[in-house]
Amino acid sequence: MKKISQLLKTQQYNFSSDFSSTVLCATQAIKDHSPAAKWFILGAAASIGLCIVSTYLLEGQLSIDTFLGTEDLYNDTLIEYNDIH
Amino acid sequence: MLAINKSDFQLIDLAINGDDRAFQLLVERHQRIVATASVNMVGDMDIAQEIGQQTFIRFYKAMGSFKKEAKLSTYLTRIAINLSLNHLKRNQTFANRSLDLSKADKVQTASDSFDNKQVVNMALQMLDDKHRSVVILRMIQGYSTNETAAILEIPKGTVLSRLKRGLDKLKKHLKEDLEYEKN
Repeated sequence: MKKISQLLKTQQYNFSSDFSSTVLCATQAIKDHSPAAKWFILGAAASIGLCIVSTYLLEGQLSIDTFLGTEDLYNDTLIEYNDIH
Repeated sequence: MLAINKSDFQLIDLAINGDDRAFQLLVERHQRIVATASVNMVGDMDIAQEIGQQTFIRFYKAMGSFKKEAKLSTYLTRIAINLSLNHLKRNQTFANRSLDLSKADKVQTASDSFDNKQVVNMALQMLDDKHRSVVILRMIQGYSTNETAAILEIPKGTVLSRLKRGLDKLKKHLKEDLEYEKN
């Protein structure tokens, strides 16, 4: 068992000499992409916010019907529509 | 300017503030423990190198929230072991875990005893993942039972039982399968 312990202690490894440079390149890429991704998410959030505000200003309410553009449709209207067609 | 004798925590602070050289120094300082953990876990230098990169990238992303009461080497070892275990789970066919000498040839050695290292590496690959991880942490990387338990998030008693079983199996493989004693 002592011999095995000694053998196991020699199982030390190193990566290639350019390993740290490769890692640094990868982290650099993350750093470069992060601001772009941040602006993209910010832009998308701002667009959604603007859409909500403009819908509220135009329609005076915020409901699913308003967003779907079906707030003027009532069940009676739909029954009439079905009868005609 | 950056001094090589700065502590890990000082280098982390510099790296958080955008000092790339500080981060590179951390990678250079700890690549050996990550390499030792991942090469012994997966038995392949190319795969281990990918795992090593992922380990440091994960650390880079989480650097801001790194708790400085933990040792960086322990933290990195935990990531490397977990990533290795994930890799092994994803590729759990015996074919992928084959003990090919040509594969072992690719393993870079840090000492002259290349043949012994190769034989031991192959014997390690014959162990179950759970036994191998304990043997690597305790016997190769020199972590204490408590540290090993913390890294693997298992009870101390489990570490001890897996270590005993792992070493018994390793001894058996070295003796019988690889005929180590005869050589």
